[in-house]
Parts: sequence; C-alpha cells; structure tokens
Amino acid sequence: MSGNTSYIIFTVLSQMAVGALIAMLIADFLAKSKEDAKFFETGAWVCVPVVVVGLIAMLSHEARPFLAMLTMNNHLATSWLSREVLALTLFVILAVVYTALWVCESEYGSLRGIISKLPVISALIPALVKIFMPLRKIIGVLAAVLGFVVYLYASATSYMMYTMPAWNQPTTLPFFIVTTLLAGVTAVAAVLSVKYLMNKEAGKSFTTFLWATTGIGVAMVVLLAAAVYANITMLPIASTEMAKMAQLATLEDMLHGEHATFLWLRVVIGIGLVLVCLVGLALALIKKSISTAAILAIAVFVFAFIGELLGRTVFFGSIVPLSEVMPHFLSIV
Amino acid sequence: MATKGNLIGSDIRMSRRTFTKLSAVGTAAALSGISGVSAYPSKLGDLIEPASAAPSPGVSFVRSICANCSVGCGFYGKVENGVFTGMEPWMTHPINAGGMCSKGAATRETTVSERRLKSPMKKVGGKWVKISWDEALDTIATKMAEARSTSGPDSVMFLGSAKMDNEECYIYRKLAAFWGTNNVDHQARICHSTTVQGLANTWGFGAETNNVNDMRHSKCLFFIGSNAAEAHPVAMQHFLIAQDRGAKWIVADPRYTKTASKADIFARFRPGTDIALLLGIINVIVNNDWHDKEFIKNRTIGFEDLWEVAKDYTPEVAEDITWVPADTIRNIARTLYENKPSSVYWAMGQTQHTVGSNNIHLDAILQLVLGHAARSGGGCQALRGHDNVQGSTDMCLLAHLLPSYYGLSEKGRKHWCDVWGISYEEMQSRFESDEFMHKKGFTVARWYEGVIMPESQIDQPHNIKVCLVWGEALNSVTMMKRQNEALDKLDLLVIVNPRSSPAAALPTRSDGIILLPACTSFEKEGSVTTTGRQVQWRHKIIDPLWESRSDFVIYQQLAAKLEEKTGLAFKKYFTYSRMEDVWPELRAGMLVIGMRQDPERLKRQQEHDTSFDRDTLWSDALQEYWGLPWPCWNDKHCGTPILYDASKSVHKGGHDFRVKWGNTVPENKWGKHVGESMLREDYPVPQYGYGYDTAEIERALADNEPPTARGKARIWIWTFVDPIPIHREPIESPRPDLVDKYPTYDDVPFQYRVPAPYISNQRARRDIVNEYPTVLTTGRQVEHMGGGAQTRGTKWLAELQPDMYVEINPKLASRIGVSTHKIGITDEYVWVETLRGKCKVKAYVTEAVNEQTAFMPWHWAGWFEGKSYEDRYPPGTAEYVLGDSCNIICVDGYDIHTQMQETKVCQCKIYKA
Amino acid sequence: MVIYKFLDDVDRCIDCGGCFVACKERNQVPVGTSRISVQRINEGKPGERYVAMSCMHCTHAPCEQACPVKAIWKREDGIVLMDKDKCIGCGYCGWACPFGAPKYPHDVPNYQVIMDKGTFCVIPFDQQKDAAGNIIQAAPDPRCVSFCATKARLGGETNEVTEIYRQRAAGKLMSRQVGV
Repeated sequence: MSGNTSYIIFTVLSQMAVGALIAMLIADFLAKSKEDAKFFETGAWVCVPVVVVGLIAMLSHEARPFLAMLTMNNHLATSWLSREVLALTLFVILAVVYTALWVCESEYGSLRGIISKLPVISALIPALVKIFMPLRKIIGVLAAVLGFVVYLYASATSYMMYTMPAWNQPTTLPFFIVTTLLAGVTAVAAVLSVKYLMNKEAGKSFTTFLWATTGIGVAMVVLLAAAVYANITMLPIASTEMAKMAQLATLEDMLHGEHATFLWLRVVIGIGLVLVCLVGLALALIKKSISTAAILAIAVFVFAFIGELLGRTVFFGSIVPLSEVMPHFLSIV
Repeated sequence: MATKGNLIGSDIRMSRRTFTKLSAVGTAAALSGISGVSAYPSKLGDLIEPASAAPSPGVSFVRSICANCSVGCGFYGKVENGVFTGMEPWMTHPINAGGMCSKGAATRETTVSERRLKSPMKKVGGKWVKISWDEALDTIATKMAEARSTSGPDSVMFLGSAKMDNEECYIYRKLAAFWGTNNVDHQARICHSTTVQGLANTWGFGAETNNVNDMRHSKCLFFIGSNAAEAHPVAMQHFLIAQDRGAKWIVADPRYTKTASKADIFARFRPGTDIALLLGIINVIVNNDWHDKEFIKNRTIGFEDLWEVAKDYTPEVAEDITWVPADTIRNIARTLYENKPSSVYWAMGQTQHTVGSNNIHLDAILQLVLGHAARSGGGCQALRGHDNVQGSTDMCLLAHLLPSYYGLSEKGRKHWCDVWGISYEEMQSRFESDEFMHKKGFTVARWYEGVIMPESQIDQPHNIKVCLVWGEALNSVTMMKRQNEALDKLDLLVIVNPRSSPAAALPTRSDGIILLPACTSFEKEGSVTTTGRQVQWRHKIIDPLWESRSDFVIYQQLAAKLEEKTGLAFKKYFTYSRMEDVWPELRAGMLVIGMRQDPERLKRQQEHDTSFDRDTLWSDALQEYWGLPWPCWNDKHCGTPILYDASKSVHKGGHDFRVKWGNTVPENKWGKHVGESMLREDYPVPQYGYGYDTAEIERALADNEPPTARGKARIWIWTFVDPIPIHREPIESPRPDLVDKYPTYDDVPFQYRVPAPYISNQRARRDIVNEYPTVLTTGRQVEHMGGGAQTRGTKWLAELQPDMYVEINPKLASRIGVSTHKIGITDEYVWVETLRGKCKVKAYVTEAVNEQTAFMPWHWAGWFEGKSYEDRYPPGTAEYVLGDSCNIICVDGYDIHTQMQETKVCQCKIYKA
Repeated sequence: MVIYKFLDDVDRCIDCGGCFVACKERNQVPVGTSRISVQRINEGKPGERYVAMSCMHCTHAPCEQACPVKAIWKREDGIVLMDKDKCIGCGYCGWACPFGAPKYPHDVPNYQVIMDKGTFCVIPFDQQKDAAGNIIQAAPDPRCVSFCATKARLGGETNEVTEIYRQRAAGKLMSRQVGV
C-alpha cells in the first residue's frame, strides 16, 4: 500500500477507533443491568481491530515498519508527528486494556469461556480483571480523553502546517472530529444493530443507545456540512499570496478538477443520505420499531463510512503544497 | 595523459576488464523506452579496478573541451586507473568559467555509455553480425574500388562530420580529393553554409566576427533566428552579463523561446519573412537619418542600391508580410540606433531558408548601415552548431571548396597539390575528368538524389554506389523518405560513428551495411575551433573503449587498404603518427584565413588560463588572445578576436574588411559600379595565399597593415542572384497573394549536380494553405544535440527530455480535440502531416507559438511515420528514447547559392491520432 | 562562522538542465529521481522564468523539526543532512519542506520509500559509512553551482553569496537608470 490510500485508511480507521471507544464508554454508562452489558459487550470488539488495521495500513507504507514502531516518537521536542504517534500509542494501550475489561469480564465477556479452559491464564486473567474492573470506566474515560483530545489535536496539528496551506485551516480538526464521532460511534451502533437483528433481543438501554447515536449523528452531520461549506468558502482567503495561490489551486481541483466527483459524492452520501437515514432512525425510535431503527443505524454507518473515505480522498488528493507554487514567488525577486 | 607514440595498432589497448564490468551493470539495468525508465544503481567506486590489477597511474585530471555546441566550454575529466570516473568544473576557463549545460555535464555518461557501438558490424541476411576491423576495412575498400572501376570515382559519396577534430576533417577532405571526387560534404552545409556565403561575400570572411565573451560589451543584442538559451546555453552567460550591464535585448522569433523570456522587445514574425522584417527596420533607420553616414561612405559600397530596395519596405508593408506590428518594427529600429553598439545573433533560424544567404547578407547590411559592424560589442554573431563546425568549415569538408576556402579552380587545386606534394597531373588523373575536378559535388542536403535519380537526370555520368556516412546524422537531412530509398539502393552503406546512429536502422535492406565504431572526442586528442574562431586543444581523457578507434586512425588504415585495392598511391600521403603532424600542412596551406596556430601554443595557453581577461580574452602574460582566433598571421601573432576592427594595431588583433573580389568592381551583369575602387587606402594589396610564401604577409605586418588589405564591405553583391536582398515567399506559404507578389527564384537546371525546381514548386503549391493551414517550423531542445543519437542514448538526458512533440497553441489544440487543461506536454498523440508525409508525436500545448504556427524539435529518430524501427538497430544500441523525425515532413526547398535545406518553414495540418 | 547557502538568480536561469545532470553525475543519483530540478513558470508568455528547486538548507529547517525519528540534522555550517539508515520513510519532511526538496525515489529499487534530498554535494545518493558508523561526508562543493551555465545559481558562504547577488542587483539598477 502506498501514497494516499494508506493515509486515508490509517486516518479514518484510527479516528473511528477513538469514536468506537467513546461509544462503548457511553454504553458502559448506559448499561443498567447484566443483560444490557452482555448485549453491549459485542460492541467492544470494534475499537481495537479497527485501529490495528489502521496501523497496519500506515506501517505498510513506511520503509522500515519495525524501525518506525520503535523510533517514531523519538522527536517529541518539535515533531507533531512524533507527538501524534505517542498519543496514539498510549491510546491504543488504554483501549486494549479497556476492551479486555469488557471481553474478559467473568460473567458476560465473550472470551470468558476460552479463558477458563486455558491453564495459568484461567487463574491470572480473572484475578487481574477482578482487580481492575472497578477502574474500567476511569480507564475508558482516560482513553477517550487521550484519543479524542490529545490524539485528534496532535493529528490535526500535524497536518496543519504552513507548507500545506489547504490543510492549514480551522476546518481540519472538525473534519477529524466528525470522522471520530460519526463513523466511530455509528460503527458500534451498527454492530449492535446487527446483533439485535440476528437475535431479536436486547436490553432496554439499546434504545437509549440508539437515541444517543442519533443525537451525536445529527450533531456531527450538521458540523460536517458546516465544515465542508466553511472549507470551500475559506480556501480563497489566505494570509499570504503564496498560500492563497496554493489554496485556490486546491479549490480548483476540489470543485472542477480530478476530485470534484469525490467531493459531490461525499456531500450526497456522507451528508445527505446519512441525514436522511438519521431522521428515519429517529422516527423509527419514536414509533418504537426497533428492527427498522437497527436497519437504519446500519445504513447510517455504511453511508457515513463511505462519506468519510470519500472526504478523506479529497482531503489528501486535492492538496497543493506550497512547494508547487513556490517557484512563482522565487521568480519575483 | 601523455600522447601515445604511435596510435596505430595501440588504439584498442584499454582497461577492458573494467569496462566489461561497467557494461554488465548497464545491460542489466538498461533503460527501455519512455515508459520503462528503470534504475541504474551504479556505484562507480566498485567499478574501478583494484590498484593491484594494473600498475596504478593514480588519479589524474585532464583538461578537455566539451563536444556538443560550438561555444567551446572546458572541463576536467577525472581519470582513475584509466577509467573516466568523473568531471570537475574548469572554473578558470575563460569562456565558460566552469559552466556547462545538461549535455556538457553529461559528457562522462555519454562517453562510457552502454548504448555505444562496441565493435565493427555487418548486416547479413537481416541480422547484425560482429566482424573484425580488418574484414570491415577490406570489404569497404574492395567495394569502393569496384564502384570506382565500374562507375568512376564520383560513384562514392563522402559524408563527413563537424564532430571530428580539425586534423581529422582535413584528412577526410584530403582523402576525398585523393580519391578523385568532389562528392564530399558534411553538416555545415545544412547548418551555416548560407552564413559563410552571405558574410564572406559581404566583407571577406564567413565566420562570426566577434566571440561570445566580447558580447559583454554589446549594448543591444538582437536575436533573430537564434534560440541561444537552448542552442548555446553557456554563451548566454556573457549575453546575460551584457544585460546586467544595461544592454537591451530584442528577440525576433516565430516562437516565444527561452531566449525570448529574457528580452526587452519580443517580435513574433512569420517564419521565412526575415528579409521583410529587416528591410522594414532598415527603412525606419534610414528614414529617420539614424544610419552612420561616415561609416557607410568610408567602408562600404552600394548603399544607394540598398535604399532603392528598402524604401518600398515601410513598416506597414513589413507588417503585412511578417505579422510584426509596424510600431514594434519602429521600436526595434529605435532601440538598435539608441544603444550603440548593437550586435546581431542568428543560428539555423536564419540560415535554413531558400533565401538563407540573403538573410545573412541583410544581417551584415544592418550592421553596416548602423555603423556597428567591425568593432567590439558589435558585428554579426553567427552562432555555429557543432563543437567543431567552424573548424570543419575551415577545413572545407564541402562539395564546392578546398581547405581554407580555396575554390575548385585550377589555381586552388594547384595550391593544394603543392602542399600535398602531388603533381597536378597526377591529381587530375584520379578524377573522372578535368571537368569533374572543378565541378561542385553532391551535398549532404541532396546526396540521395545522386543515388535514386535516373543517371540521365543528374549532372554526373553514373549514380552514387557507395556512401560513407562518417559521423553524419541522417535524420538531420530533410526528405527522409527519398533518402531512405537511396539508403536501400546503395551497393554499400558505411556508417562510422560512436553510436550505431539512426542511419544504421533507417534502411530496410538486409545486407550491405557496415558499421565502424569510432571513438568519442574524449578518447583521442586534437584541436577544435569555437564559433568565435578560437582554436582549443582537446586532450585525450581515456583510451578508446571497447573496439572503437579514432577517426584519425581509421582514415589511415582505410587509405592503406585503398592503396591495396585500387593501386593508387595513398599511404605516403596519409601517414601521420600524431595529430600534431598534420599541423605543418595546415599552417602551410591555410594562409588565406591565417590558420597558423601551433598546438604547442594552444596547450601553453591552457596552462596559463588564469592570465586571460574574461572580457577581452587578452593575456598580458602571454601577449595573445585565447584560442589564437584566426587570422593568426604567424608564430608570434596574437590572433584576431574581432574581425575587421580597424581601431586596433594589426599586432594587437587589428583588421579590416578583406578584398576578395579584386581591387575594383569588375564587369557584372547588372552593369553597376564598374571600375569603382574596393580599397579605401592606396597600400599595395599583399599577394599571398598561394604557395608557401609568407613574405607578403610579413611585409604587410611590418607596415602594420592587415595582410587582407583595407577593403570596402559590399552592401551590393554583384555575384548574387539578388545583389540586394528582396523578400521572396518560401516555397510553401500561407499567403497566396504574397506568393504572386514576391515569388521565389526561377528553377535552376543543375545545382550541385541535381535539378533544382523553385518557382515551379511554389506555383504548384500556391493555394496549399487551404488544405495545410498551419506553418511548421523546427528547432532545438537544450537537452539534445544534432541528430540526437548520442544524447538520446545517454540516460540522464533521456530522462530529462524524453519526448518528441509538436508545440501547438491552446486554441489550435482545443480545435483539434487535444485537452488544454494544462500548459505543457500532454500524453495525447497527434499527426502532423505535410505533402511529404506525416509524423506521430505528442502534443505540447503552449502559447509560445501562435495559432497559425506549430513547432517541432528535430533531434528525434527511431520512429518513422508513427512506427518504431527499434528492431532494426544492432542489438543493444538503440537510444533510450525514440520519436518520429520531423525531417520526414520538412519541405524540399533549398538555398539558391548553397543548397541549404529549408527546414524552418512549410505548411502542415495537425489532427489527433 | 561559516554558514553555507544557495541563492537562485532567476534573471539568469535559462533552464538548460545543467544542474540536474551535474548533480546526477556527482552524486550518482539514479534515473527516476533527482535532487534538483528546474521549474518553468508562465510558460510561453512574457514573464516566463525558471527556478531551480532543491534543498535550500534553511536556517530553521522545517524538515529537521518535522522528522519524527531524528534522521535529519543540521551541521554547524548550516548544511542540512539526513541519515538514510534512520529514515523510516514517513514522508513527513517532504510535506514540511516549502521547496519540496525531500523526495521519495519511487522508481529506484530498494529506495522507493527512503527519502532523499540535496546535501550540498556532501553525501552521494548511496551513502557510505566508515568503520565507526559515521556517514562519510565530502567537502561542500555543490556542482549545481560550479557547473551552472549562466552562473544563475549561487552557493557557498552566505556573505559571499549575498555580496555577489547584491553587486549584480546594484549593477542592474545602475545600468537601467543610466539607460533611461
């Protein structure tokens, strides 16, 4: 995997993982009973696999993946990429612990059966889970804060450099937040919906969870629409002539060039269809038709995920770096 | 490196193991075509032989001169254990100060390139077979002798090269003379033959009057038909210094070239209308009384005749013909007048026309009228093409001259017979007849007609049967379709080149081609002459690689074989052990142009390179000018950097217009100026140049008079078809109305032994614009040189410029359906079609050309009308990048005096492939 | 203290490609990538200019600050270098560079995703290390400068470079005024 594809997959998936963790945290707080928790437990399987796929995508594009893993946070003093990687690493560690506390739980964790059959581990893991279980929510909150605040901020900042004028915009962080909360939260909702549709049974809190998803989803779609609009309208404005030239070139590519189709598809699918499905989801919840709601929740995730992939393709594909317009300015001496 | 005592026999001694290794790397990672540019991880360090393998001469640095254009840039070749491992800048070289363009900087890569021809080869039954040198030379000599006995000496065509050193050019010309033919020519014919014709007939010598360094003193640089930024990149160093010092730049060109990007005034004119533009400028100058009356009166004749013609070419008339707005013409004239001295620059843009000689004549007239000629910072700068094209022209590797510009007359013949130590009668006996001894031969431009035209239609008894293509790129010659017919019809085709060259692959024949691997300029030593007449010594960097041999060696070996096969005496006239051995003959025979430098003096200059002033090229330490520019009258003379500069003492390089036409104007068919004196002083004109007598030269020098006397320049040339240039439309013109008004020349029954139709072709194509609406012009790319076999076969240059294209205006592009999203090269192919054929090339969308014009570079070969013939190259020798040749489609027009081909203007149509 | 810098005199550059080839020759940069390339702007129109783009050895080098693995460092004399053995190929220095100097040699086997950039002719493309593990560095002698056909590219000690450029600019200004 090389070039933009790996960046697209890595950023979208790593941000979704943060969102999935947040979704599980919400579920954690919503779960009133063992049944609720047992139902929600399946959603815990989303976060870690997604971030691992994302990491593989990123490392596959590095020349020396193993060296990269060991050294990428070597330069915290000045490199935002180092900081981003450090934040992500810590997030992944906490996310693994948090997920483990879900899936190894002694009463409803889906791995409890396997663990009990293995020697040594069958004694060790339940003991550890027992010690840490009271801290699960705290660990979850810590992971969410690290992921949502530190990692997203470091990640956005690492793209917001002056040499990439079209990224160096206030809209970059909102774009990442939308990916996190829209695609990440709905991913968990979608998994739970699939489970619901297969078993036709769920705890009461599932409806609440879907309501929460709907609320977050609508907020994010609104934020996304605003960000896309703001991005397009703000690109012609820049503090320097050089940045302006690069930004206009980016805009030209986004609106009329190679990436125009991606942008419009993103608007139609990632905003339009998602919004329609979210409204449907809300109506279904009002009508208490959970099956319909579950189907629509899956649809919301699918469209949101496609929309984010398209959006990220535009983000990485349409960028015109400062170095491409630099000759024009070096020539006016 | 020391010169070898005897080159013959020792020429294939080399560090073979090293280069076998080097070649192995090259083959493994060979680049293929445009798309598959793959890598070449060469670690030169690993390729150098370990010191234990051979007695280590260690690392040495050898001074050498670039072998691309004629600017004459120096560099150091780095040699480690006999291997050419690197290049170092020669920062103290007075001309380039270390600077080199892409072609020059790639010299090492070009020299050791894997794609070179490595051994003699022969085509047998459609396959290329490796043969020995002895077999190859034997076959060639046998075939030549056969052709001689059945069809006479004129059945062999000798095509030479401006890439050879002075000494080699001279030997080749001499070889043709001893063979008994005038069918000898080289690329100067299609390069600057019209310059020589135009300038020599105006004021005596046919060379650039100044040199590139002197252009620092110019106040106004007028480029017309020169794209120096691409053709002479390092000369731009000096032109840009002039600009820094306040000089104005005027660029007149059909395209907005890289040179034009530096201009103060840019005039886009229609190809082939230079004369109308220049006459328009002269009209404004004279009308405003800006001409230098004193200069015109004292140093020229025929100004009134000029005005007779120029008065009709008002700026408005010129605008109609040339596309240049009348106000721009006035502006150019004013700028030229206000910024004294101005100088005119041209290259192929002016020379390659049916009116080429007239174009150049008019450039000189412009300088005479302004009074800017014959001085520092002024004059006419004919920017020559190849590294030694000035030298090869001086050696007259030409069908109508003998070395040093002696004519084919009895007088000239006798002079050279004296120098060569052969009796006139014996020389005469080698020719077909006395008539053919004095008759101009076939030229590069139309030699193929001598092969394919019926014998009844050509001006010699038999067709050409054998052709020696010695370093000539055949894709630089127009009418390639007819040329291919000729290549297929010859009895034997011999190609001598460091590369297999497109000439080997163009013919479809399955037998009868012999390839001889010549070495490059850096595997031998010799002298080369820059565009500014400076002679520089090029030292040998390495021994010839693979089985290649230097031309110097091959000539002598071939001469020996010819003696064996024909029974004529050759050996005793062609035995030289060192390059320096040729010089006594040059110094004795070439008195006319003062070619009396001495290799030792040239080498000494390089040791003292720091003592030369970059502005004047004068060395206080040596008391001479860089390169001893000819005329260099004797062993003590400092050279003449600026021709005709009467302000200086002759001993410091002073000069004056040369009387070449007698002391008075003779009877002429125009009946004008008869009896008028051509001298501006009563000093007795020195009689020199025939025989070895230098006493006349010494007498003049003692009196501080130039041996060429003090004559007057001819504005009115009685020997020309047009004594004063008048506008004549090109053979193919987009303006039928102007064709009627300004028709071309009358047909010529025989021109260099072939019939030459002019007006009949033009009339037949009067309305060609209806079907072929676009004017096609051609030119250079900075990354490639000449026919391009060398540069396209050099990986870095192939990478830098991998494309053959046609430049078209965005408007034309959108009309024919080529995408105009981006300015520059596209991936879309178009056909460019003319009456001669068509080319399939990429479209290059740019506003550099206007809607009516298209431009193609001419360095390309390897495709013919859209089809690749890469499979016909000897294995592994095809260039990395191939393309269609624009000379397939260029027009069949030729200069009236020199048979210069007209590549710069024809009508075409362009459509999407 | 000696600080090395490049300066492009765009009025002089003629896009001959000499720097591109001289760099390849000196540093054995393989086909498929380059450490310096000439950009052509306003092509075919008045205002057409050419600018040689390469590593400019910035005083506050963004690539050095961006590199997450400290593969890029700055010498005392201002030359910015990188160690290919440390590079993990994240490409972040390429994004951070305003001149687009660090590049992926995508078409060069074994080097596709190891960044490469100009080194003032100090380190060739294929870096070599001595027994102690230090990269072998040549004396700073940039060939794009010494081989520049029109002396458009200036390079060397900062004060010298600026002085040459200042003189040229002053000369041009003077001559233009006199010309008017």
